[in-house]
Amino acid sequence: MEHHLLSLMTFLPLLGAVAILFMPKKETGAVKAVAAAAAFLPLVLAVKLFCAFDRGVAGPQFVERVAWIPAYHIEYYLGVDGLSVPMLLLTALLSFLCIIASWKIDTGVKGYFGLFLLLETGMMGVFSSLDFFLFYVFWEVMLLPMYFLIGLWGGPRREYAAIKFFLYTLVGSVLMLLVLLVVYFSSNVDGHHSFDLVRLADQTTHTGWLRGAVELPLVGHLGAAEFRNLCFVLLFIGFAIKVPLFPFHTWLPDAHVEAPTAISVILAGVLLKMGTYGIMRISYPLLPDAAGWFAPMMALLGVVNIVYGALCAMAQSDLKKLVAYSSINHMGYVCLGLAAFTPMSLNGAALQMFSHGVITAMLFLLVGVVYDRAHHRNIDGFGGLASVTPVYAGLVAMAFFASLGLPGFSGFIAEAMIFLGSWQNDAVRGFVMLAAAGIVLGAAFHLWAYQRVFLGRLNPKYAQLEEINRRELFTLIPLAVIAVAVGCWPSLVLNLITESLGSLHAGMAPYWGR
Amino acid sequence: MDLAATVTATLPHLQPEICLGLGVGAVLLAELYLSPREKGAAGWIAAAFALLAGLIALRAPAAASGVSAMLFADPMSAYLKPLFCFSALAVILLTLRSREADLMPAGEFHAFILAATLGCCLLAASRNLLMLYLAMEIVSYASYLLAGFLRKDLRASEAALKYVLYGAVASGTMLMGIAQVYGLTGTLDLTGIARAAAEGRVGGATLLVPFGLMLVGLGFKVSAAPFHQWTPDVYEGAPTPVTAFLSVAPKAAGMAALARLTWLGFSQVPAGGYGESGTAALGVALSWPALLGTLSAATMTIGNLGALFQTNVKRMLAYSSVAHAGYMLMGLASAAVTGEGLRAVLFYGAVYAAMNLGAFGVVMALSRITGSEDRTAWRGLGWKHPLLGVCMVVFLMSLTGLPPFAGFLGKLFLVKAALAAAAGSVALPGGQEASCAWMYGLILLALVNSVISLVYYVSVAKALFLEGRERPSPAPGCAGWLQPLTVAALAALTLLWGLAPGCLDTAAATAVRGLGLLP
Repeated sequence: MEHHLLSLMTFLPLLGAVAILFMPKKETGAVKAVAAAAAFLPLVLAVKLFCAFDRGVAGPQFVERVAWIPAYHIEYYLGVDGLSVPMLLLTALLSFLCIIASWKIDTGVKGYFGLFLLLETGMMGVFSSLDFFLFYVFWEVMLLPMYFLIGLWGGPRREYAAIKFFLYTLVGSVLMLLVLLVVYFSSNVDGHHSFDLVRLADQTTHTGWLRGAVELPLVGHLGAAEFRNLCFVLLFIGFAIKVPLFPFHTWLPDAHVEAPTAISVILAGVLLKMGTYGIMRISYPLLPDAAGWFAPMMALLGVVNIVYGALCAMAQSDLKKLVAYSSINHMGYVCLGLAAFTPMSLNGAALQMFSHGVITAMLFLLVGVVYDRAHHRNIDGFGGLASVTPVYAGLVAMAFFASLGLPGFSGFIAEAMIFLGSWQNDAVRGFVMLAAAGIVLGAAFHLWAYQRVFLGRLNPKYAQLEEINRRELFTLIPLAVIAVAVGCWPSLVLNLITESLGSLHAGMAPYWGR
Repeated sequence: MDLAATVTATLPHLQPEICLGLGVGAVLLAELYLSPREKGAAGWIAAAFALLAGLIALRAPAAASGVSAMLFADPMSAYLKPLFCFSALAVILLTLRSREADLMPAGEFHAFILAATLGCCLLAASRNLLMLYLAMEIVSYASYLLAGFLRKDLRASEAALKYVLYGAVASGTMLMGIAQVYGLTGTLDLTGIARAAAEGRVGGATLLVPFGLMLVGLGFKVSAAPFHQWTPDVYEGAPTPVTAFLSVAPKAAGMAALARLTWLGFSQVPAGGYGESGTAALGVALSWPALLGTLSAATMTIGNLGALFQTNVKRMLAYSSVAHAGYMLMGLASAAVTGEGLRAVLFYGAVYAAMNLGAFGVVMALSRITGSEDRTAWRGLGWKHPLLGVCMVVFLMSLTGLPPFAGFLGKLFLVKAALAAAAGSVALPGGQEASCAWMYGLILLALVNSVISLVYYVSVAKALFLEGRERPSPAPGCAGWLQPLTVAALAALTLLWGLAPGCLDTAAATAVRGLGLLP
């Protein structure tokens, strides 16, 4: 049982999806129950993983390894380290909560929950793969369900948003594929090519292209270092599209706004993290010198995300779009933390990934609550809701404060760590100062939006607005508890992360400045 | 060796062909003696023979080299023959209960399918240019007749006429090339041509002209740009089962013939085969990999751009088949540097057969239901016929090249081979070396094309599921059981080969190893 923990977490949802496929169409209640069960079991396993994970070990744990396509040394290689455990926890938790949050879906129930579980399998797989090829396969497996989930159950412009998401992500994955093959061909692990991410982090396994000069058409002659830089940039674009970093972010507002609530939660809570996760899992360890070369650019992009995201959020009239842009803002901090490359900023970035996943999920769920009742999300269309729905207003206030980084919430710890850690690196100090402006802007758009929706004179149209119900509370409370718990006791998550990121930093540091 | 001995030595290797030939006769006879009500029986007989031929071909003993002066019985033909037979089987099964089946004389139709399959088997095994030409003509004649099978349908007649005209010019051109080769080298044997070039009896530059002329003929067969213009019209006008068959078997056979022609007739592979980064010496002054690479670039781009704006799914798939020919040509071009290229092409051929036949199967089933091949008439049908809809999504995503479907691995292997080739170079006659770095550009183009292809493939999935969910298109007909079953089997195969490619890939590797192209 213990040995197949990761496989079970990954494939139980798929099993659920297959079961749903064979259920009668009319039994919507049963379909939902099966979906909830298929998402709940991985959550239980994730908690078990959280408890059993040895925090003192940097390398992969719970390893499962079987040859998959032996001719090319492709392996079914699962394992987790400190970076992936929080992500798996987040995925399991949000998936389960989102299934509960989707309870009111009544068209195409089978399809919706089946695709959702398929998506969960993809997400779990991405976070637990240690084989580059396997990682790529899971990465791509998520695309199709996501396309249909947005395209079928989304808002009015769903078809446009869905295909835009699909195309953007595919462009990114094609770039990733190219680098995947180059890395594979340049690797020499025990005398053969390999996709093993753990071994490939060892720079001595790189030969061929990554260590020699390359003649490219149009581009001309490229030295080894330049070629590695090129590979890093290609890979980075692939991941940056997912994060999304400016200027590849334009799919995000469309997709998040058109997607149904639960899918927005998954998009913002889990899928965005895959971009930065990919950078930390693949780009950094495989191409550390190129990462060091590119770091100033990354820091710049991070700051642009922070400031630009906040300014865009401020300009929005749609509450959901505001939350979507706040994601762009928050992922900018992660990027800055990665670029600064101090142990503290890396830890902060990883913590921010977890914390933003929790907080943004709350925000999207809360937006969904008011949208279900008022059928619009226009910020200026409300007013004084606090007097009608006090519990709801209180929860939104809490989520907003968590999101803008008030002490006591996980977001504060993460952002503080990113700022403090980044300050230690002279090279990015200027960017840190600019990013600090983003904090003020972030506070501004949150508070301004809150004021317009909940404070002021009551809009008489919504005098009878229904208070948040128990099912919705059930999805929100765990997230709120986690945000506060991690905010007050950060080592809950940091303990998991520190050891692995410390070893990542130590392994990369010799190459960073080159 | 006297004639009798040759024949007895050859016969065991021709069992699949003999079986197919017997099948043609049996189907035609059955058609004569069966009453019109039992028309379906001819199809079942044809299916039985195709299955039998396929099974025999699977178990065929592979000889190390050619058993006769005309044909090879090497692992490569052993790999391709079952592919042709099973493709024919799938087409026959899909046809049995199709809309088109009611409009055509069943016996002749199935007999021609078997005959075309026979031609494909011979084409892929040809060792002599004369045999190659004859086999190509067998395939072509059967294809012309099949394309025009719906005699009362104006579009089908137009398609058949276009096909004949283009085909006649192409094969004439090819014949001219063959004649020139014979004049220059005094032999039609592929290995003999290579020897003549190696011994310097004929200059590399002189061989360029006949090579180009022959490329026209084979380019027509695999519908490579700029010889592809017949494809959309013929594919759209021909009965769908015929289109399905044409897009798969003759194309793979043409690829195989092209492969033999290029590396066997016009280059010299080092005695020990070339290893991972070895090179072949080319018999033609202009490096033919560059020529094939140019064709590949043009073919995939033109195919994809053409498909982008089609609403008729059959026509769209026609353009998409042009694009896929382009991807496969990329593999052939890289085969000059590494045997991996040919291995990838062979793998892709099988995968492409499964997914493309499946896609056409769904087109047949849905056009039987709606009476239209236009995707706008299919709105929301995915919800009414979930099996067909889901299978179609599987085929489309596999054609796009998304994991976990086989199309992804197919494309991956092609790109992988091309990357390996890009780092190498080929030796031209006269001791020069030609770098293959241009291959990087081709790879990039292939990837860009894959992204473009998503747009039109997804448009079909969109019509099936995203549009008109509340009010699906009126659908008077029903799909029956045979078509959905065949389609589901092909979808399962597409997924299976995507998750466990080992078996197929090993077979492809064995085939290439048999040619001495892989260590």
